[in-house]
Amino acid sequence: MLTGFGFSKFLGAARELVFAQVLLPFSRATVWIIVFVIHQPLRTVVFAFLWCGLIAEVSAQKKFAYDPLALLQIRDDPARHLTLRWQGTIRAEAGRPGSWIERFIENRFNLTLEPRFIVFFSYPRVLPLRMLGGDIADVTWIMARDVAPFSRHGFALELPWEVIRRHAPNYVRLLNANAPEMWLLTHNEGRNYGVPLSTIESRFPRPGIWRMDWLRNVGIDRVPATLVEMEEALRRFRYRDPDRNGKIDTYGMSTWRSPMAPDTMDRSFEEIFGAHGVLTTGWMERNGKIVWGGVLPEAKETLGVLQRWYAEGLIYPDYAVAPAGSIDLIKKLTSGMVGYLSGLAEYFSFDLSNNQSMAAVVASVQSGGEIVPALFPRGPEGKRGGRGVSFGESLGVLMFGRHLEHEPEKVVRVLRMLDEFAADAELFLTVRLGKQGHHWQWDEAKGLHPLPPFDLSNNAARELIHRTLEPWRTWGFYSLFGGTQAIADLFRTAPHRAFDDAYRNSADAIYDALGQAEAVPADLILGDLIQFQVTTYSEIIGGRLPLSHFDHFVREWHHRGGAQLTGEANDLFARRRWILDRAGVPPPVTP
Amino acid sequence: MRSRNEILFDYCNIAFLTLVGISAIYPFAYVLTLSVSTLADVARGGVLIIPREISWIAYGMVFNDENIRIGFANAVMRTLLGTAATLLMTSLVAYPLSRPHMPLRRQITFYVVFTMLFSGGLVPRYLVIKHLGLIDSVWSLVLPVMLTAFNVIVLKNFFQQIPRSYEEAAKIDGAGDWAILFQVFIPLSKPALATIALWTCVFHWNAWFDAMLFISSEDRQVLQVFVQRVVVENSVKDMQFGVDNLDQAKFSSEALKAATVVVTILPILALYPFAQRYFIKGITLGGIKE
Amino acid sequence: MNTLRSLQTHRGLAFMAIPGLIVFFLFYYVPMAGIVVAFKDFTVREGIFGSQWAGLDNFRRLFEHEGFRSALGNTFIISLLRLSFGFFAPIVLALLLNELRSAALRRTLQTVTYLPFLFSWIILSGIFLLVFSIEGPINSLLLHSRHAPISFLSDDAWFLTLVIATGIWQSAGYGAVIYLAALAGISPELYEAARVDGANRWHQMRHISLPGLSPTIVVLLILNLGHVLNAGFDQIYNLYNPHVYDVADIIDTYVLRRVFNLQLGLSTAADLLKSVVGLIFLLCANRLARAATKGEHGVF
Repeated sequence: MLTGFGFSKFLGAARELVFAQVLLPFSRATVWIIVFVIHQPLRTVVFAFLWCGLIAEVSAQKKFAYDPLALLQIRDDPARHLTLRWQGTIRAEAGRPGSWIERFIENRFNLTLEPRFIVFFSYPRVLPLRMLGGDIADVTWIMARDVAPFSRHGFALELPWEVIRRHAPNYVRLLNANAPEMWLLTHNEGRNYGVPLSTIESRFPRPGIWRMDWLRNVGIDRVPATLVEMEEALRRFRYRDPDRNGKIDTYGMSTWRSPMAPDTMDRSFEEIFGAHGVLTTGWMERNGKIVWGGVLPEAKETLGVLQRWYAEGLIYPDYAVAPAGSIDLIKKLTSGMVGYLSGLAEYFSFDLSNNQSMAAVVASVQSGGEIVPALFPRGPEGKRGGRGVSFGESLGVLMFGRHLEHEPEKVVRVLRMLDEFAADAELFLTVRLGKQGHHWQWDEAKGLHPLPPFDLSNNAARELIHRTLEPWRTWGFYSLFGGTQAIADLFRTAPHRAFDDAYRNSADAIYDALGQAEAVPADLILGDLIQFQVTTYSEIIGGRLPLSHFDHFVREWHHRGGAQLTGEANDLFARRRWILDRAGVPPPVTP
Repeated sequence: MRSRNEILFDYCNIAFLTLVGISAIYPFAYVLTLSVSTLADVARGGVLIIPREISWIAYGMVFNDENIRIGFANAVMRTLLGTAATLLMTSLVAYPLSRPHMPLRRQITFYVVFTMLFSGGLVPRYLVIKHLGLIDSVWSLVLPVMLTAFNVIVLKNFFQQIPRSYEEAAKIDGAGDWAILFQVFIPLSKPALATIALWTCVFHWNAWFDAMLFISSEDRQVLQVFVQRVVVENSVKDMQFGVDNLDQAKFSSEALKAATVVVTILPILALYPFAQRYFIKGITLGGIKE
Repeated sequence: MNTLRSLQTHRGLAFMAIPGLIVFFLFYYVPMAGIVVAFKDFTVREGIFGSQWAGLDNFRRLFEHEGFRSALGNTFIISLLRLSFGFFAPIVLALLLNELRSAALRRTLQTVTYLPFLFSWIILSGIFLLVFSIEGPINSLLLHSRHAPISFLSDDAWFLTLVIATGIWQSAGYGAVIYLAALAGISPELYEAARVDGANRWHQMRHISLPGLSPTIVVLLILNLGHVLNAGFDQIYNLYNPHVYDVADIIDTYVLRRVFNLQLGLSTAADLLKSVVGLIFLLCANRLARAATKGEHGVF
C-alpha cells in the first residue's frame, strides 16, 4: 500500500532537493519558512525531511529516450504470447470478460485479453480520472477531443503515421478511402497519437419522427416538408388537443442532446438549423475559410424561429434540462408529451415486428398510435439537411498507453490485428458479431440478425455484441473499423437500405469541414465556448434574452477565445494536406 | 391565563409547524409513491400521493442490478472500516491533547486546528493519494478522512471534562497512559464516542465525492456513485440490462430513479428511530464554544 | 532543553499521538505543499518538479476567464443569499418550537424536521429533480390551477430559489436543534421573573430568549462567514445543469470541471484563491465577533 516509502529513496530525494532544486525560489522560500519561522528544531527537521522526500518522490520520473520510429523496425512474432489490457468502445457498457469473441481473439492471436469496460454516461468524468490515477490500459478507445490533453499529459503513446502504414496497410487503405479526415483527429502539434477509426454507414443524417396519428387528428394528412408546414403542425399539436384527451397539455416538439458531452448540443434542433444551412457546433467552410457555424448569421435566423416557437409553446419547456439520451426523449414521444422529436429516426424505430421498437411502444401505449419518419424541412431559401456524422459524433480514436514505450511488441501485435480485421471480411464479422450460425446468421430476408438467445439485449451485451446490430455500430469492442461498403451493406436488409435511401440520404448531410469540432486541439477553450453558446442559445430560445443579443454573443464569443480558435482551425485546414500526405492519402484528383 | 391573542398565536403556531413538518416528509412520501408507479401515470403528472396502479418493476430492476449490490457492499465496508478507524485514531490524538502536561500541546493543537482553516486543494490531495498508492483502494476513502480537527476537539473537550480523580486513581493503581485511555476514559466517554461514531457512519454512507475521484474500478465503487449515475446523470440504460423483455409500456425511468433512492435511504430510515436521540444530543456535545 | 526533557518524561503520551499526527501531516499538510502546482504549467508527464514554472500565469488566466469570474460572483451571491434567509430559518423554527405547549408535538416535529439532514445531496437532488420536473407534482398542481408550468430547474431565478429553499429545508431542522439546546440552557427563573413583571410571551422572547441565544448565534455566524466561499458544492453539483451555469456555477464546481478537463494548474490556482480568501474572511469575522461582544465570545 505505501509503495513510495523506501528510505534510500528518501535520502536520494532529499539530496536531490537540497542540491539541485534549492536554487528554485519557491522551494528556497519553503525551506526557509520551515527551518526558520517555525523555530522548533526537532519538529522542523522531521517536517522538512518528510516533506522533501515526498515531493521529490512525487516528481521522480524515469528518464527514457523513446524513438517512436523505432516501431518501424519491429516485426511481430506470432509465437510470443502477450497480455493486453484493452478498453474498447464505450458502447459496451454491459460487457463482461470471458465472452466468446474474446476467447476467439485470444486463440487466434496468441493473447490474453483483459477487457475493461467504462460506463457510457460517465466517460467524461471517469476516464480523465483513471488516466490521472495512472490506471491506463494498454489499448484505450478515447474520444477525439481527448487526444490533445492526453498526449500533453503523457498518457498517449506517439504513433507516427509511417508506423501505422507499415503494420496495418490494409486498415490504412480502407480508412483513407472512406474517411481520411479522421487523421486530423489523432494529430496534435505535428505528431500522431493514435489510430483513427470510422464507419462507412453513418454518413447519413437522421431526420426526426412525427406522430402520424396526431397529425391526422389535427387535420394534416401528410408529413410536413417545409419549415412553414412544420410550424403549423406543431402549432396544432399545441392547441388542438391532438391526443384527444380534452386537455391542452401537449407540446409540439423536443430535441436530442448528447449525453456524452453534456456541454454540447450539437444535434439539437439540427434540422431547423439545417433548414438554414448551418451546423451550430461545427466548422463550416465559407469562401475558402473556416468559420464556426454557431456564430453565423444563419444561426441567428434559426434562433429567431426557435424563439418564436418556444414563446408559443411549440417546444417542450424543459427540453434541455435532463441530459437527454435517446431513452428519455423517446419516452416523451411515446408518453404523449410531444408530437415530434428531432434527430432520432432510424430504420429500427419503425420496425413493428420488434416489440421494443419505438413504433411498437407507441402503438401499445396509445391505441392508434403511429409514428413516421420526418422529412428534413426546407427552409426559406430552400435549404435542408441534418448533420452528417461520418467522421465523428461519438466515434473516436484508439490510443496506446505510453507505458508501451517499453513494450513495443504489443503495439505491433495490435496493429496487425486491426489490419487483419480490415483485410478479411469473415474474420471481421466474427470478431464483431461472434460465431456465424451460433450468435448470428445472415439471410436475404432478414439480413444480419442475432440468433436466440442472443436476441435479448443483455445476452448480446455480455458477449460484446451490440444488441440490435445497428449498422452504424459496425465497429465492435475489439474491432475498430466498419470494413468495406459491402460489409456495411450486409448489416442492412433491403427494406432497411430503402428506408435509408428515402429518409437518410447523404445528399441531405451537412458535414463539418474539419471532420469534427474537436479536430482543433483547443485546450478546452472549445468546451467553454460551446457551453457559452449552449447557454446563450437556450436563453435566447427561452425568450430570456432578445434575439438582438446574438450580435453581442458573437463579439463575446470571439473575445473569449473564439477568434484564437478560428485561427487555429484555419491553420489546421492549411496543414491538412501535410497530415494527409504523411498518412498516405493521395491528393484529390481535380477534374 | 393565556390571553386571546396568545391562544390564537398558539393555534397558528401549531398549524404552521405542522405544515413545516409535512413539507419535510412530503418529498420522501412522493418518491415512495413514484417508485411503484407506471409510465402512464408518471407521464401525465398524475402521481401526487397515492399511486393509481402499483408496479414493482422498478424495484425488480434495482435489486437485480449488480452495481447496486456491489455498491451497497462497498458502502457498508467503508462505513464500518471508516468508523472504527475514526474512533480509534481520534481517541489516540484527543487524549494526549487533553492532558495539560502533554509536551508541545499548544503548538500541536494549533496545527490541528489550522487544518480547519486552510486546505491544499483538490489536485494536491489527489496527487498525495496517488503517490501513496491508494488509488482504487478502500483505504483512500478511509484514511484521509479518519481524523478531523472537529472530532478531535470535541473528544478532547470531553476528555478534559472528565474529573481528574479518575485519572489519578488509575495512576495510583499503576496504569500507564494507554491503559488509562482504553480502560478508564473510553468507557466514560460513551456518549461522545457514540455521537462521533454516528456522525461518521452517516458521513461515510453519504460520501460520494472521494469515491468518484479515487475509485476507478467498478467493483470497488460505492453505492452513492452508482445512485448518482442513475438519479442525477440519468444513466438508466445500465440497469435495463438486468431485465429481459422489459415491459416498455409499464416501465418508467422516473420510477426507477425513485426506487433507487428509496433503496439507498432505507438503512438510514431504518436506524433513525433508534439512533435519533444520539443525533440530537450529540449536537450539544459538540460544544460550539471552543 | 525543556521540550526534550518533557518528551522524555511523557514518552507514552507522545508516542500515542504520533500515528495521528502523521495522518494529519500526510493528508492535510503535505497537500499544502502541492500548492506549487498552482504556479506551474503542470503536466502529469513531467510531475510536480518537472513541470515548467508559470509564475502567476494561471491566476491571470483565471481572472481573464469569464467562467471563473462568474463562478466567483455566484459563489458570493449564493452564500449571501443563504446567509440572509437560511441563517435565520433555524432560529425562527427553534423559537416557534419552543413556544409549543405540547412537548410530544415538539419532539415529533424536531425528529421530523431533522431527518433531511441525514441524507446526501445525491439522494436529495434526485428527489427534487423528480419533484420539480415538468412532470412532477408541483407542476401538476400548477396545471390544475390553470397556471403555466414552470421550469424550476432551468430558469435562473427559480433555480437559485430552489437551491436556497431546499438548502433551508435540509438544514433548518438541524440548526433548530442547536438553538433549542441553547434555549433549554436558559434558566427558567428568568422567565418566571419576567412573567411576574407582567411580560407577555412576545416580550419574553425578545428580552430573554434572543439574548440567551446570542452567543450561539454569534459563533455560528462567524463560522458561516468564514465559510462564505463554500456555497454548497454537493447540492449544486447534483442539482445544476448547463442552463443555469451562469448563476449556479460556483468555485468548487468550476474547480472540478477544470480537473475533468485535465487543466490541473488552473484548478489548483482557483482552489488556492478560495482557501486564502476563506482564511482571511474567517480571521476577520473572528476579530469582528470579538469586537462586537467585547472580547467575550469568539472561536479562537
